[in-house]
Amino acid sequence: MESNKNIEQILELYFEGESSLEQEHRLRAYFKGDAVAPHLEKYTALFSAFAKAKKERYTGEINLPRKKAFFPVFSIAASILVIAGLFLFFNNNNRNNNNTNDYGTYKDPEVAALKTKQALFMMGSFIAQSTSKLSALDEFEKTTDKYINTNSNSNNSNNN
Amino acid sequence: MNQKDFLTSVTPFQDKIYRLARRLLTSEEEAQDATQEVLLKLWSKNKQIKKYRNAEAFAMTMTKNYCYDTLKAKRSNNVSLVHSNYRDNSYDTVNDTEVSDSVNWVYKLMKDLPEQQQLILQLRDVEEYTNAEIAEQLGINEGTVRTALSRARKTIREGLLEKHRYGIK
Repeated sequence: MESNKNIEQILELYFEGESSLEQEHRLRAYFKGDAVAPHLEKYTALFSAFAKAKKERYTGEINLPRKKAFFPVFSIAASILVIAGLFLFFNNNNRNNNNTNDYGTYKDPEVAALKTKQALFMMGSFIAQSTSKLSALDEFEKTTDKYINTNSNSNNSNNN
Repeated sequence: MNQKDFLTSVTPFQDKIYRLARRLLTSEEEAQDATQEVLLKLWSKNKQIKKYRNAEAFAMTMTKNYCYDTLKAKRSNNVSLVHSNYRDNSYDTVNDTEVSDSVNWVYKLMKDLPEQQQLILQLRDVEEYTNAEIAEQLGINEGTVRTALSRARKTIREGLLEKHRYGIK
């Protein structure tokens, strides 16, 4: 049990700002107890106020920005995935186009030769068809020859 | 350090941050906002936190700065009200009835102290930091802490004695 004299001394130091934490603990303990001297009772409120103030607790929640914290890692991973995905997709498409040797050609040389022959014959027949019509043009020449004079005749004779 | 580690590491002093803010600011809501804000700032400086010798001291300093800023902003907001002569007297009457209790009277006395003294009294007499720790947190020297502490305690004593005398009368 602290003597009142001790407490008075410590209080004196306390108000001068000279008391140590340990002495202040003793003050707190003293004023918390029931045996407070009547002439010191006025200080009880002070120390009980400090004790009460210390009991206050933070009841709110702490909200930390979750997204922001992981932002760099996730965004980098996601962008790599997207780029890799696009790259593979297009690459695959290109390869599909390039790798199929389907140019509409024949693999068997005999068939190829036959088909070529057929195609050429067809071309030939088209050309023959068109040239056969050209014989009609001879008629024009006969009529022009009739009216063009000796010059053309001599030419003809010269040629002959 | 991930979020869980961070939250565990701040648990020991998150109440201290709240109480300090509660002492300096007017309402519980403001104090909670302050706590949240300070912890958020602390989290954003997560990587540098190891560089600081003492995360707790750093947090207390941040709390002090945050509260000062808030109070300053509020004071500048209040200027317009003062000019239009709308004084809110109801606040004081409410307060007067509240402080009928002598413990609350101490709080009221603490509130009337200059900000720095409030801060130092809170850190020393409620949170029980040493003068050296307080000096580090506030960026002032120990002598200043001791002087301010003495002034704050004496002011409160006077207030208490006055109240006590009224009681007798």
